Amino acid sequence: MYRRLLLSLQSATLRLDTWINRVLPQDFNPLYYTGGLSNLFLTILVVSGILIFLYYEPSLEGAYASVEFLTRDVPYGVVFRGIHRYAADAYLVAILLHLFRNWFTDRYREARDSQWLSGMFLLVVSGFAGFTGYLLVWDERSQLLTSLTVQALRSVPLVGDRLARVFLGGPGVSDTTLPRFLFLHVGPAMTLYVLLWWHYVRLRHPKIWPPSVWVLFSLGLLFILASALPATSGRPAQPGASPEGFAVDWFFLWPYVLARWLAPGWALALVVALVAYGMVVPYTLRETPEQRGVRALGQAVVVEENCTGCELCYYDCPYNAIYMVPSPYPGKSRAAANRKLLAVVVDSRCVECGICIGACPFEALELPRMLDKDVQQRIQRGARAAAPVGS
Amino acid sequence: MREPERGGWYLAVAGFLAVLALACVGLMVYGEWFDRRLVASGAVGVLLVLYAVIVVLFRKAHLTAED
Ligand code: SF4
Ligand code: SF4
Repeated sequence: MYRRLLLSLQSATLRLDTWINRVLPQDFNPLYYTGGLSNLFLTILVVSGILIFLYYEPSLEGAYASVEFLTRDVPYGVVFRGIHRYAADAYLVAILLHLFRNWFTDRYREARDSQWLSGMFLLVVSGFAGFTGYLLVWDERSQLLTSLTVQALRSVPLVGDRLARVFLGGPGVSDTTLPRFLFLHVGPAMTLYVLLWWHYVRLRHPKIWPPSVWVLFSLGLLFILASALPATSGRPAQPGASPEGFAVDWFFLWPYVLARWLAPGWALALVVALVAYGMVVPYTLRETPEQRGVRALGQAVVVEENCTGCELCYYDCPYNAIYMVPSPYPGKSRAAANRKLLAVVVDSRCVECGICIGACPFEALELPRMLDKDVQQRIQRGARAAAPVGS
Repeated sequence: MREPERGGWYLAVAGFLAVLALACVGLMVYGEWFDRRLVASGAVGVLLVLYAVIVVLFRKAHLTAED
């Protein structure tokens, strides 16, 4: 059932690609750059965040006034604030599109599980940084979010009170609270770059930036949104007040909508359960090659006498599984006699995809157990996945 | 796939958008001059979106190559 659902979603995703490729030139298809678009919005967030940071005062008395000063009195301050706010939403949308696309096109498990896991961490940390951003304004909404978060944290068995204390920077809201929130916003945001390194480390040619068309379009859209729907604050937070409602940003604050229906503790439990499910998704559909009806082909092997050290396989292996080392001895073929480098396959990284075999012009790589019928089988499976459902 | 018969149409639309882009520059100057900064920044946004569409139209008219 789950398998069939995934196959239908894969087919639908590929059909959507085909449709977009009819409207736009293929290399402008935004669905090919969901990761790059996430990076673009992250960069915009960092730049606009630095500008906002220059005016921000992290104190109970000064935070609200400093945000208002930025919004009302600094030339284009309201625009930068709006760009920061809408770029955060766009960033989350791009991440989710990236996640679902890779899920539906079966690029999330086995050799890709580390990309999936790092992606889940990126999503969680980004969501957290987005949420703490709303606390920094220190208006009524921030106050309500703070009190709901404290209630949710306190409901955690054994460590609840400690977690709430860490979150607030003390036993209650005090002068240390806003600097703590600032740290909880900027610290995770900086962690994102470490997570991105993990996300990319095993990919050979990741598309980390969208084409110029999408850079222009995205920036333009953010300027339009920031001007047409300027980001504003609610009323300033009041000590001891318990505000009722707030304008919801569904992308970052949906757990708080839940927290108002369920108890805050249950909303937190639901978020934790969702994240935990996300983490195990790549392992819910583990198939051995036998279950998939294909034989294990064995890791790629370098035929050392033929290797000329041309490095083509090194650049083409998508899993970073080929290294070039100084050649310890000359090759046997004429082309390889004067080589300086030799290709070496890192077995633990090789997923037996066969791409390097196609890349090598010197017949110096082989999958030792691959037969013609395996190639045919793979082509047929690919064609079936690309065909419309029901055909 | 080449679509030579539509190239002229794409260029005509791109030309029209370029005129709109020029109007946006005017709005930017107006917004800055009369202290209506949201108008100015909105015009910047529309200008950028128009540029993006013009780049796509140029490609569809085969005036530019792949990125
Ligand atoms: S088969 Fe070749 S291209 Fe594929 S992962 Fe192994 S070394 Fe890399
Ligand atoms: S592509 Fe072939 S010849 Fe070139 S480095 Fe790789 S194995 Fe050697």
